[in-house]
Amino acid sequence: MASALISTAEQAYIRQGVVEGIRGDGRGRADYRDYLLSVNVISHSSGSARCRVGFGTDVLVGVKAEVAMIEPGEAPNRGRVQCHVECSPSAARQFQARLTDELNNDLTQFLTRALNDFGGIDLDKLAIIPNQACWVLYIDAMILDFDGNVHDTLLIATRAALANTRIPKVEVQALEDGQQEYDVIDDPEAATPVPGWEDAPLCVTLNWTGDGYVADATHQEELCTDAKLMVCVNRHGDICSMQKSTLGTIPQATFLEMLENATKIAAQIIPTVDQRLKEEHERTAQQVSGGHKSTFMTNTFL
Amino acid sequence: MELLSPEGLRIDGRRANELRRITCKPSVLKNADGSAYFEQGNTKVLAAVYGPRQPQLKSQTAHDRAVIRVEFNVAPFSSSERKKRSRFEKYGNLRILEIATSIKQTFEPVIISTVYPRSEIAIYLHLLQDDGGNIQTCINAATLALIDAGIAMTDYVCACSAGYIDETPVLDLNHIEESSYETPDLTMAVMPRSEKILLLQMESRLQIGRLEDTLALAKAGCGQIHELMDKAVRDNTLDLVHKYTN
Amino acid sequence: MAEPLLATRRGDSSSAGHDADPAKTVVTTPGEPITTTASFMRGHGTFVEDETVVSAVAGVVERINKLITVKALKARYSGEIGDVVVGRITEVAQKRWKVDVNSRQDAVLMLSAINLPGGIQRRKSESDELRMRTFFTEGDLVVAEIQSHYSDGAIALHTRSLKYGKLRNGTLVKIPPALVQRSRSHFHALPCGVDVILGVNGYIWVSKHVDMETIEANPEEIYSSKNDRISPDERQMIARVANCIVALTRHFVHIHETSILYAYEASLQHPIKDLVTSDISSDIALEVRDKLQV
Repeated sequence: MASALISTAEQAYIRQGVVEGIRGDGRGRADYRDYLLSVNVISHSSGSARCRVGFGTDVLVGVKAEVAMIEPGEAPNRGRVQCHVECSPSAARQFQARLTDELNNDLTQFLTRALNDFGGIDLDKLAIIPNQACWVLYIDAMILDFDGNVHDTLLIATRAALANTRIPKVEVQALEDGQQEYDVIDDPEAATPVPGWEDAPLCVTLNWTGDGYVADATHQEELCTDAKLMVCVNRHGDICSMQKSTLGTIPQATFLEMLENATKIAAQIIPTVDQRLKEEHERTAQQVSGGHKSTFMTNTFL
Repeated sequence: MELLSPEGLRIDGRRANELRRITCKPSVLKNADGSAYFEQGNTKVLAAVYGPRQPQLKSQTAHDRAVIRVEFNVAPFSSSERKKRSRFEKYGNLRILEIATSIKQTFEPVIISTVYPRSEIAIYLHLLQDDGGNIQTCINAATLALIDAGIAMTDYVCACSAGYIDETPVLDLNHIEESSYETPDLTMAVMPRSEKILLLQMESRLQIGRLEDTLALAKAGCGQIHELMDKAVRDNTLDLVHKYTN
Repeated sequence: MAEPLLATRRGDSSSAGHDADPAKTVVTTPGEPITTTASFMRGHGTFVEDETVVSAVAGVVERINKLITVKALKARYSGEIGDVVVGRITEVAQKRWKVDVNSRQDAVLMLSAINLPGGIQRRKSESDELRMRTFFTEGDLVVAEIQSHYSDGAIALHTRSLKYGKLRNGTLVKIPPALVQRSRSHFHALPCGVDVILGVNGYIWVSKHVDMETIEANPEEIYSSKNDRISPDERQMIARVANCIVALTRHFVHIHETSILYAYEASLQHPIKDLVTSDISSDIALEVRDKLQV
C-alpha cells in the first residue's frame, strides 16, 4: 500500500524516453538535475552541508569530530568513521516508520562502505595516541525530502560536509612514566580540515530500465528501474566501491559499459561539485565576516 | 557558573525578559503539503505537515473528523556531543513519544478537524539542533507548517518557556539555563487571541509564590512570538497573492 | 475585538478574487475576525465564534453575496461538482475504484459511472465486475468529472464521456491546485502538437495530441494502456511544455492555456532541460507575467 504507484502507460513512456535519450524533463541520459549546495548549516557540528537536487531530494549531513578511546582489538593507530543515515518519514509516503528501517540500514552500510578503507579520508592521521585515543568522525545524514537519486545526493552532501569540517588541534605530551596524554585545543583558528577529504568519492547511480540506462533518476524514473548500479568514484577516477541493487538483472556487456560511463560522468561532476563548494565556502566566509550567522535556510529556494 | 550577571545579563547576553533571536520561514519543503523552519536562538526545528489526506490504515480513521498524528525526531547531530547521541537518549524513546503526544494534545483543540472527516493530518517534527526549549520551538514550527498547509485552525498556537534564575524571572531559557539544577522552568503554549492555555509543562520545583510571575512572563513571550509568526505568515501570504495576481 | 475587515467593503459587489486589484485584496490569518454574522454567512476557511465570522486559515478573503470564504493558497484540493480532475487509481474495490485526486480522501469512481468499451450503452453485468482491472488498475491515471459528493464529503467521479477516461502518451505534472482556475475548458490542444489537460486538482496531464475523431473512431481503445508511436520531436515538445509548467509553478504563475503558450514562446531560446533551473525559470516567469498584464 505504501509503495508509490505508476501507470503502465507512464512506465512505457519513460522507458521509451530512456531509449531515445529524451527524458520527461528534457534531460539526456547522463544529465544531472540542477542542485543546490549549502554548507555550515548546523552550528553544533564540526561540519555540515545540505544538498537539494532538482527541488526534490534534500539531504542534510552533519559531521562531528569527537575523541574516543581505542578499545583492545581495534586498529591501534587509526581513527574511525562512523556513518548513520536516516530517511525522514516526512520525506515521502513510502518512508513510513518500520518500512524505512531496511532502507536506513542499506544507506548507512552504503555510506560506510563508500567512506572507509578506500574512501579517501586518511584514518591514520586521525590517530592521537596509539592504543589509547583517536578521532572518530560521526557522519550523520538525514533524507528530508525525496524525488529520486538519494545515493548520489547523499555523497555530494557528505563530500561537502567533510570539506566543511574542522578537527580541533590536539597536543600530545609525553609523561615521565612513558605514558602520553593529550589536550584538545579549543581554538577554531588552530583546527584543521579532514585529512584526505578531497579523495572522498562521489557516487554515480545508473538506472537500468531494460533497454537503456540513465543517471540521476527522478522518483518516477526509479519506479521504472529494473536494476540500479551505484558506483563510487574519486577524483582520480578510481572506483572505490560498487553495488548493484533492486530486483532486475543487467547483461554483462552492458554492465561494463555502464561502469565505464559512470566513471566518465563522475569525472565531469566532481570538478563542478568542488567548484560549487569553493563558491559556497567563500560566500559563507563573507557572511561570517559580515556578521551574519549562517543558518539552515541559507540558500533555500522559494 | 553564573547564569545572571550582576548587571542583569544572561549567559548569552540577553536581558531577563528577552527572547532569543527568532528566524522562521514557511514553505521550505517540496513534497509536504505544508512545511516550516523555525529557529529560536540555536535551537532549530524543521516541521512538515501532510494532509488532510487519505489515512494509511482504515483502523486509524474516524468517521466524523481528521485524525492527527505527530512524529518527533531528534537528529543525531542535534546535540553538542554526538557520542551521547542526544540527551534524549538517556530517557530512550519514551521521552520522544511523550513529547510527540503532548504536542498532539496541544494541537487537537485548535485544529478544526471536524471539517475533514475520515482523513489524517500528519505532523513531522525534526529537531535539527538542540539548544534548549525544544518543545516550544517544535510547537511554533508546527503551527507555521499547519498554516502553510492551509489546515483550518481556530487560532495560532504559540509556545514559550519561562523560569527563575535566583530571584529573577527569565524568559525563553537556553540549554545551559534549563539544564542548571537550580533553575525551575515551565513551557506554556497558548492560543494568543483567547489566551487559553493549551499546554503547560514543568519538570522542576518552583516556589508557588513565583508561579504567577513565571506564567505572566511566559504568556508575554507567547504574545511576542505570535506577532513574529503572524508577520511571517502575512508576508508569505501577501507575497504569494502578489505573484498570483501578477 | 478587531474592527470587522469587510465593513468598508459592503456594497462592493466584486469579490477579492484573483482578478481583483491586489491593493484591495484582504489577507487574513487564523483567528482573525472578519465580520459579523448579522449580515454574512460563513463559508470555507472560516468559523463562527460569538456572532463573528473568523478566519481559520491564512489566505485571501472572498465574498460571494453574503457568503464569506477564505481561500488558503497552498491547501489541498476540495472538489466542486462539475470540476475536471486528473487522478490516479489507488485501489480496485467492490464495484468501484478509489482515486487519488490530491484531496483529503480518495475519490470514488463507481463501475456504473464509466463508459463500457465499445461505446454501447448497456447494463453493467457481473462479468464486468470480474474484469474491472481491464478497465482501470492500480496506478492508472484517469481524467474524470466530479459528479457528486457523498455525505461524508468524499468525491464521486464519472467518466461517462469520450473526453474522459484513461490517460496515456504522456507525462504527469503535479502543481498546487490554487494555480489552476476553473474555466470553460480544461482540455487544450496547443499549436505545438501537445495536448494539456488542466485538472482543477492540480494534476496536469501533458501528452501527444490525439484528435477527437480518432478516439471516436476507435472506441475499443479507450481502456488501452499502450502508448501510440511518439516521435522524438513529439517527445521533446511534451518535455518542453511540461518543463514550462514546472517553471511557471515555481514562481507561482497561474497555469492556463495563455500562460503556457507565452511560456512556451519564451522557452524556445533555451534548451529544454535548462528551463527548470532557477535562473531561467525566473526569466520565463517574468516574461510571461509581463505579457499577461498587457
